[in-house]
Amino acid sequence: MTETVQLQYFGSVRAAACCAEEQAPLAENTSVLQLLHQLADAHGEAFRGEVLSGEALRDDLTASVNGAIIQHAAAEDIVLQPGDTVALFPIFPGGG
Amino acid sequence: MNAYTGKILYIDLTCGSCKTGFYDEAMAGDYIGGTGFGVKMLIDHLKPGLDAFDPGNPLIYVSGATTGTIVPCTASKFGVFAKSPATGLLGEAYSTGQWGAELRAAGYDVLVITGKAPKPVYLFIDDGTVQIRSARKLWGKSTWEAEQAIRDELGDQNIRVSGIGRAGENLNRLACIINDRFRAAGRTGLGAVMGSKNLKAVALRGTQDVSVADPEGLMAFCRDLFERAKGPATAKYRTLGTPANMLTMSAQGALPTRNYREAEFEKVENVSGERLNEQFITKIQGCSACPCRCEHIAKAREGRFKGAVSRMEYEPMMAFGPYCGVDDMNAIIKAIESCNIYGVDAIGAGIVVGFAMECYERGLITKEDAGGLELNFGNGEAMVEMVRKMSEREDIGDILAEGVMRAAEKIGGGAAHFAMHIKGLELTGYDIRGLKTAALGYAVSRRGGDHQRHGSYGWDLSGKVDRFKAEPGRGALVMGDEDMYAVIDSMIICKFTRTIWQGYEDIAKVYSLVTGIPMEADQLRLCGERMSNLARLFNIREGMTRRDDELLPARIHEDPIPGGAAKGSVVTPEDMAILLDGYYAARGWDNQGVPTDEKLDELGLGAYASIAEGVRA
Repeated sequence: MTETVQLQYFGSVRAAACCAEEQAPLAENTSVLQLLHQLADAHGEAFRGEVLSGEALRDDLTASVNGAIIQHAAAEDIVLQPGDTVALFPIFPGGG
Repeated sequence: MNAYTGKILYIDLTCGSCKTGFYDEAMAGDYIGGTGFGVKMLIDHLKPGLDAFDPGNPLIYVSGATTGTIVPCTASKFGVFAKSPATGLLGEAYSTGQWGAELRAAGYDVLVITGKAPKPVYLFIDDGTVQIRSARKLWGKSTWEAEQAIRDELGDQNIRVSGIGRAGENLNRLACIINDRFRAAGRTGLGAVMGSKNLKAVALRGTQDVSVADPEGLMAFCRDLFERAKGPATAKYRTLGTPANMLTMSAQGALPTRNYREAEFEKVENVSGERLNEQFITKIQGCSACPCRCEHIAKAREGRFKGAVSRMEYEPMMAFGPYCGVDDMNAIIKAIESCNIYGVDAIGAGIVVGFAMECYERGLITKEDAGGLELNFGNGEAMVEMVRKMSEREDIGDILAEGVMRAAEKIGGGAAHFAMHIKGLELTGYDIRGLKTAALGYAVSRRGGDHQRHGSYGWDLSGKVDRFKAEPGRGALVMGDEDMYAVIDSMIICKFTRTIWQGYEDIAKVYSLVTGIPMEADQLRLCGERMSNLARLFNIREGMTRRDDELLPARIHEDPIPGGAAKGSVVTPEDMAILLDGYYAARGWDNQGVPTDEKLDELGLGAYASIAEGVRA
């Protein structure tokens, strides 16, 4: 049976993915950053622009794994496990 | 000077006189505009210790350095300053729309309004001339009615009006100043200062050009800025807008819900930005010279609030939605519309109503106190009516109009434990128990419990730091944010577009192109630090101490977040000691939060050293 991770999208990431949640297949030893590249390949350029800046996570994106926000610098070191939930949030600084 | 008019209009409402003053290039280069001008003018013109409602408290309007120019997303901003009736400290708020550009086109950069008119008046500043006109027929009108009546009376539908509604007239300490119907100088109760002066509004008509030092260079750079402002960095503001934060904050356990009893809202989908945009947004519009167009206008679709219209942002939606346990979008739209019409801070008002709902459910406020309202969490109709009662000072609304700090003292029964304010200013939409950098930012914010003087929640929510951990190094992060925000609020740049600017370098470049005053990035950063220190001195002069920085609401210290992503989080007094010590050290202040003589000399603030000396141990 193929192993998967659960994905949750918010705000403009959700709009770019055209869904609020989905499951994605998970290969062994996949890091958070690798997963995002995999998702960007699947969803296209609009999604890629929402989550990535070049090869790295976009600076104003928050990513969490099982509810815990991950540090951007660690995105390529955090290896996902089957059944993990990854959430992607754009940060919206206020005005005023 | 270029861009700057160099003119300050002083108006004394007691004797009905006015005069024009001037400032020089040194003042412009040291203080930039906006925040810098506002803080400098206030500390220089306020007699220490005066009550906020004393006629001697100056109400100060300021434009930004680039106001009225083509620089995108800066052209329309202005700031308002006075001693705050909410905090007794620095009162400071910013607005946008069209009014700011009109002020400079009318010939002034700064208005300093003192005194109290014997009868209600409004000001009409028309291309350098000033009239103090009777507002007898305007007093009692809503902000929208007054704006229209002034335009009709003056026979010009293009006149720009910044004025107060019933809340300001009734000295509601949450009263704001409204312009262009949906725009507010919202926080710290400055509408009540205006009301205390019997001043209903300031109307403007300006046709004067604003000169810039290097038109060709500025045009070229602004083309680039316009492209950036239309690009991906601001796309989220044009599409879902800040209401997208509703789902995000709830999922991260940072959404203040039911007066901070929880940090996630089980009905958040009903009040999400996604639902708002799908079902309620009727128009998206922009400010003067702004390519972003972020202003989402919503209309209530059904029920007793059908037809209500409001501009929607995350903060007021949070305050009248999850904070009050309300998931009826129609009621939220109506509550925010009511705030615009009565002229009351839509963030603070929602926090006050949420506080009142908890008091009601604990039996500290009765149905009779509430004028027959059943003020339970989730009752959208009662919430809307309470905004009116607060503005008119009816029933319990008279006490709530004092803000949660003073209301809790009057209500008693332990209400102070869950009165969510810092230094008298109601908290905003980030549950700081699980955001330790933000907790420090809120604690030391120069205008009280607020996110807009530092934006330091960004460190916590982006995963750049451990959001649950208090560390001394957070002080330097908050300091850097504060000083940058002081510069942003001096130019005055819309914060929605701050990501299009590549740091101080870009801002310094635009400043020099516009004004002709040479400015380097390091100088500009120093200007921001100067403003932060001068604001600190103002607050110290008005009696603020380290203890005021330490005192978060008891619920923040003692009641852990009960569930969700931040379950168990509190900010302990030990956390605060670590954070404050780190912040003061980063600032070069002593351990009581007082700037040292060396720091003041470094920033060219030696003339104010006596304020620090007066409180130093």
